[in-house]
Amino acid sequence: MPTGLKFIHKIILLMVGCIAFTGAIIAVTFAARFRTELIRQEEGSSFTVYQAAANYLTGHYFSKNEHFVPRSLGYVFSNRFLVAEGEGSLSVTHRPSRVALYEPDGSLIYAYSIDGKPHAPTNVPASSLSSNVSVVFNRPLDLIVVSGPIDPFGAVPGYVTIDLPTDIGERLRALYRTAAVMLLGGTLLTTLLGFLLTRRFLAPVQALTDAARRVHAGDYSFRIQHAANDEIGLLTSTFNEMVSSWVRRLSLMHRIQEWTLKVGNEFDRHRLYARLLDMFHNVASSKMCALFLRTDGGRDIDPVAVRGEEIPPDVTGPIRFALEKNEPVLMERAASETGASLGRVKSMVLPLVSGERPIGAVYIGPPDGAPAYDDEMVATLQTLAQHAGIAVENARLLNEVAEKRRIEQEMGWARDIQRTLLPNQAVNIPGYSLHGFSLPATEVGGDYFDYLARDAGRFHIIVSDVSGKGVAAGLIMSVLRSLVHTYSEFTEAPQDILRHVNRVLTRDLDEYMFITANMLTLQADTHVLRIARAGHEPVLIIGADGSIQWIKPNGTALGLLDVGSFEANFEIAEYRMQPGDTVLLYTDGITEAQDVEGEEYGLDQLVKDAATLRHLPVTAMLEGLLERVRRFASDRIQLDDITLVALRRDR
Amino acid sequence: MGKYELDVQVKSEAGVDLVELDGPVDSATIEVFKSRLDPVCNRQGAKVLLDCQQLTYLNSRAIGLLVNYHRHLLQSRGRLALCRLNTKLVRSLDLLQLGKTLFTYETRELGLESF
Repeated sequence: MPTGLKFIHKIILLMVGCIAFTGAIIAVTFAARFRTELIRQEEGSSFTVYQAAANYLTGHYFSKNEHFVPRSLGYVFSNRFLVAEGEGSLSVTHRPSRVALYEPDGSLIYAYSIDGKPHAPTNVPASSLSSNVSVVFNRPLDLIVVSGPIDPFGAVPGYVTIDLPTDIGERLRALYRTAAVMLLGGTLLTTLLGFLLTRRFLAPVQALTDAARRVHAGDYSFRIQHAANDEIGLLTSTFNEMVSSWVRRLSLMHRIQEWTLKVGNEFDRHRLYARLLDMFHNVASSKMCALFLRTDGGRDIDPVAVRGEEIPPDVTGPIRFALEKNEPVLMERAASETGASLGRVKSMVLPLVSGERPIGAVYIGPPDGAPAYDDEMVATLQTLAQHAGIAVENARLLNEVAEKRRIEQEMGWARDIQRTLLPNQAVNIPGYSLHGFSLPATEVGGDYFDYLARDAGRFHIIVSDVSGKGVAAGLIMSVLRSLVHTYSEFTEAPQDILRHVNRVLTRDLDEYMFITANMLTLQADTHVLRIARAGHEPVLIIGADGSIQWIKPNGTALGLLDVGSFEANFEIAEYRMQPGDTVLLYTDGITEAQDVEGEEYGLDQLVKDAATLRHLPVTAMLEGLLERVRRFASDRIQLDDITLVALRRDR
Repeated sequence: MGKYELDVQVKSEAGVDLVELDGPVDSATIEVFKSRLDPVCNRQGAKVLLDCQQLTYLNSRAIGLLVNYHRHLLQSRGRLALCRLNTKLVRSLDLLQLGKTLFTYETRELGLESF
């Protein structure tokens, strides 16, 4: 709150001070001039008395033989001097209170005093007697003293001094008193009038002050009533408009805050789009709104939410322009339309930007109940569009993260499930060692290996590779496992099992997918190994002495060709396992493992390393092979699923 | 370091669509491979020769696509042939027993003459 005098009181004080100062100046000036004039008038009258006295004394001197006769003079000055000049009897206005005559040497000739007492000095210095007439106002004694020669022409020797009582002092004091009273009265009157008039004239200013105070206190509905067509009127109407505008902005800001809060707490994309559009629709009070987002990797633009009336078809061009140029497109109405001062923007397309990239646009149609949007609303909507762009991008990112987490979780489940589909330990085959593992390149792999113990010492071993990787390959792998498990229950020969499996897969598999597989059936008691190959890598047999054999019977991949072509070229191979023989089954994830230069581990290296490691137990041998492959690939990520299975006839 | 992008050039030569492949066809480039070959190989009765001299890798899905194109073209009295295959690709086709199914030629001239 402001302290000290109010503005109105300062104005009054200033005005009264000015008036009082001006009045005082005028009063003093007039009083001084009046005083001077009064003294001059009195001096003139006194000079006339002096002339009359000089004339009389000159006449007296020459009539008395050039002498002055005191008795005669006393009579005249006591009874007759200037009586004749008065109006009526004894109406003398300038009767001397003292008359003194001096010789040229300064000695007193004659003295008259109205009270009869001798007041004149008997001698005065001759030098003080001037040949010029002097008129002096003796203010303390209220006297005018006229001195001069008796005869200005020097015919009569001597000098005369005349004291004339005067009321100049009293008149001046009366004048000063009157002036002071008038000045004081005038000042008081002026102060009163000034106070009343200033209050009247400055009432709108006071009203403005009170209004500002009330608005400050939160009374936004208060308006000043002042219709005068002057500067104050302009100021008042401007204040009212300013408060109204401020109230509108405040209301808009509150609405924007509410919407921003609603939008900021919404991460479901479709609900977010709906809320964003509600926000634009409500804030702009538009007839229609539509939200467009880039789809198909940014190549296309589709409406994701619409409010109000049907969207006109001609907005496609402005939307594409806004997205390409990353600029708002403001569509203006014709200048001839009424109310041009209210704004020109009829509708608009505002890009929604994330970073510097436009990710979509909002179309805001014409306002409902107004000819156009004013600049303030356009700026507000542009600000909202910036918020909307960020909200859409945040929701997209959050959805992506959530989706990624969901996929990761599901992939984790799929990986765990797939792990259960693979044998966690080898079957016990008398006289043989068996070990295998599979390492998918991603969470879920397309490689499959399995051991199936059947009756009468018969064991099936399968290693397969589904074309492609990931979930699709993993699903096919689980189908393959089911088929193999099912058919191996009823069929002994590996080629028959694969034929059955192929018939099903050829019918059901995607036309671009296929499966390569090696299926081995070991008759443990006879050591006969029957091998069926469906387009897979050939079977590698490492002898106890390090000799290498490849077994590669004809056979194309499962599901790749029609059933007839598959079965027409399908062969089976037989091999009798020797003591110390190691059968190595693998997928191309091993041979096609790449180093940082892009070079492949290769078949030759696999054979060489397998031969080197043949003395180790099969578990250690496979771990050694994997270690060498990993060392070869160094930091390069695993590109394909890796599966290794080793079967060894004990010595 | 090998090339990581696939470049597919389609030319017409003596009534044959000659497709030159440069780079690998792997999981990163399979969609490019398919998008460029679909319009060529899905045309009824098309004669298509794939020049594989600069083809550095062909994954299993791409092989599945080739078999499918081959099957489709045969049905529409067209034909798909491959020429100038590297040893690795020859081995892959051999393992899959596709050497007798797909038409393969050592040179481009032989491939063109086969039509």
